Amino acid sequence: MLKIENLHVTVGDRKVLNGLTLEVPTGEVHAIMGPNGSGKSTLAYALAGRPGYEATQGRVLYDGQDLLAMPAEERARAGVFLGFQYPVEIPGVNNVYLLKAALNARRKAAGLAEIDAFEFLEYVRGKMKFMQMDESFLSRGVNESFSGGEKKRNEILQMLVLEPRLALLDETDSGLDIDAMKIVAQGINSLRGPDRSIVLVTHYQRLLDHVQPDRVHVLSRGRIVHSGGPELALELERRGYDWVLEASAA
Amino acid sequence: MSALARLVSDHATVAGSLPASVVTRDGRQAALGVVSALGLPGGREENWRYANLRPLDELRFVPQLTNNAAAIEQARSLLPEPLAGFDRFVFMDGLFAAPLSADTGSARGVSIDTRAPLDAAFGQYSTDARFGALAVAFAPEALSITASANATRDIEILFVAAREGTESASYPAVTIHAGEHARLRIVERHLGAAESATFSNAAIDLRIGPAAQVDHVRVQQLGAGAVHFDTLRAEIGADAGYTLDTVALGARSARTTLHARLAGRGARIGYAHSVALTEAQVNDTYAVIEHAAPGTETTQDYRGIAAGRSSVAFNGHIVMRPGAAGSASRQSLRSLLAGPGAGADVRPQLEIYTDDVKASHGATSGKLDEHMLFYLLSRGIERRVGQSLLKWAFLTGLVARIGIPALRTQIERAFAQRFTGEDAAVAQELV
Ligand SMILES: Nc1ncnc2c1ncn2[C@@H]1O[C@H](COP(=O)(O)OP(=O)(O)OP(=O)(O)O)[C@@H](O)[C@H]1O
Ligand SMILES: [Mg+2]
Repeated sequence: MLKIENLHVTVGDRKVLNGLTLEVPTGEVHAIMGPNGSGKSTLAYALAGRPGYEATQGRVLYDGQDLLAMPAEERARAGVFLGFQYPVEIPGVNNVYLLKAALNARRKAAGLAEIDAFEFLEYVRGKMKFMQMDESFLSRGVNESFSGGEKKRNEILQMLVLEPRLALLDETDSGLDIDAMKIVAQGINSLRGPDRSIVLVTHYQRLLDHVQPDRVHVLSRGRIVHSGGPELALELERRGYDWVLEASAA
Repeated sequence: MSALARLVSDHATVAGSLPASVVTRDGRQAALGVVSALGLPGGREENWRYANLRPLDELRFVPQLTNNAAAIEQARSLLPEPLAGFDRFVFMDGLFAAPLSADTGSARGVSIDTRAPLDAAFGQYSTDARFGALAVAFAPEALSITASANATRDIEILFVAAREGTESASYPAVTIHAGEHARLRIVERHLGAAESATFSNAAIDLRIGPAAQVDHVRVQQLGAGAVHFDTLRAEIGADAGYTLDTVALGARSARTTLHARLAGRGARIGYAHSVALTEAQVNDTYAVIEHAAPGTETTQDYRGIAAGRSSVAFNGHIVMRPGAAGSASRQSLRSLLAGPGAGADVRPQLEIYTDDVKASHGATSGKLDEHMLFYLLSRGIERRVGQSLLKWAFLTGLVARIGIPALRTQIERAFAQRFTGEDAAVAQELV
């Protein structure tokens, strides 16, 4: 599904990713952990096509296509979804409008007709119920005055509505209360399947208790320096990053 | 002939016919004297730098003195849907048009006079006396609204600029007095046919008594060739609230000069101004809000969007007088350039004479927010559509808080008409 080879990314004049290589096979869930400032969000943004995140070397294949050659909106329509670490507030554009426009863009790319308005509402209501979100969120501006946790839940709602093939979730678990963490984990698990891949960027084991990853990677100074199975996350939680970084420097 | 000389000679031709019941001949002469002494504004004056004053050179100042029934009927098609529960007063080319108006007279304690005498001091104050004085010198009629203590009323005032040419200037003049605890909602609109080139000089003077509340919405939708000056003066008493939501879409050259004085302890003003221009329109506002009593509050928001070669300007000047301890002001001024030849200038300006105040301001000029745009793109929204959405959100952001839903819809429709191409398609979906 996703194949990143020797990726170098510059933000402003700063080289943030320095030869990152990572493969996420179809159907798998991978977790990326790593110290603050190591480049996790930069990787997520670069994959989603954020302007200003310039790949100077390397390549990224998504289903065999050259992902970096596609504009951001095309990546989304092709099934790539970024759950933001800091979801953006857009007052004046309401949530339901965005959900519908985003879904229709995705359908159009797949050769499907626009969804019927009634059918759409039923569909979204079902997803909201699953996420235990009040319907009043639909008529509010996108993330406008949402609490930190509500914003994260809204990211997962969007993901469930869009049913992406590749979901990149950047610290979706940060700032969630205990119950919300479970709901978000349920949302992620419900998307899990043989045709989809999920990349979870996280600092904590807690999310991974609910969403078992197939692989865990450590990102440091712009590269993947260590990979392992789900037990690696537990070990990192216990021992911190120093031992991995020392071992990789050696 | 200079503009000022033309003004004086136009006045001489019409002075004998202007009703003395509104302003005495001496009063009009004195007001003309004020204008003559100060001269008409020029681009070299700091507070007029961004206004388009070129039209002054060709303006004629003589007002209409009578309206005929047929013309009044023609103006009917320009009027928006009435707002439920509002009494309506329509002025055509500055003259009261009873057939177009609807005064239920239902509310007690509010008296309305369409040919009220104008106070000699009307519009004469520090910020800029000239255009208020112009109204005193020329206005054939004036509207006065007086709400006694505890009275409540919703009033729509429509000024339709219909006629063009040499004897077609109009001078909408309004005095509003809200007594203690009175509550007024005023919707003031300036309308004209789409392409018309009219000249109007509007002046409005509000006195808001203790603990009264006045919610005032002004919508300027004059024709594309119109020249419009307006002057607003408000005096706000103790614990009184004044909200002023203004929307400007029309006119080739429009300028607002505003002076609000928070005169009593705890007085509040919330001023929001939204402007959307295209082609070569110019819209300039100079707003002075003066905190003259303790514990007074200002919020001021500006959103101006300039497409084509148009330009928007807003100078929000806040003065904290020595007696204004414990007062607070917040300004958020934003403009958006939506055309290659468009211009914008937004300036917060603070003048503070006492320590114990809070004043915050933010001003941005320029482009759409890149973070917001990327968020939309990351959801598969096309770039053009995302840009249109953000423009729409920018423009309608302040209108959302107008408390009259039917009016809000009318304004949003007018905004949508302002949008073209892809922007229009998106806007139509969102109205
Ligand atoms: N626009 C920018 N200009 C300059 N430096 C940047 C910019 N964006 C990111 N960086 C830098 O790149 C590095 C990586 O940032 P990134 O946000 O990818 O880290 P992260 O691994 O997601 O960290 P965290 O765990 O704190 O979210 C940081 O040192 C950051 O300061
Ligand atoms: Mg991050």
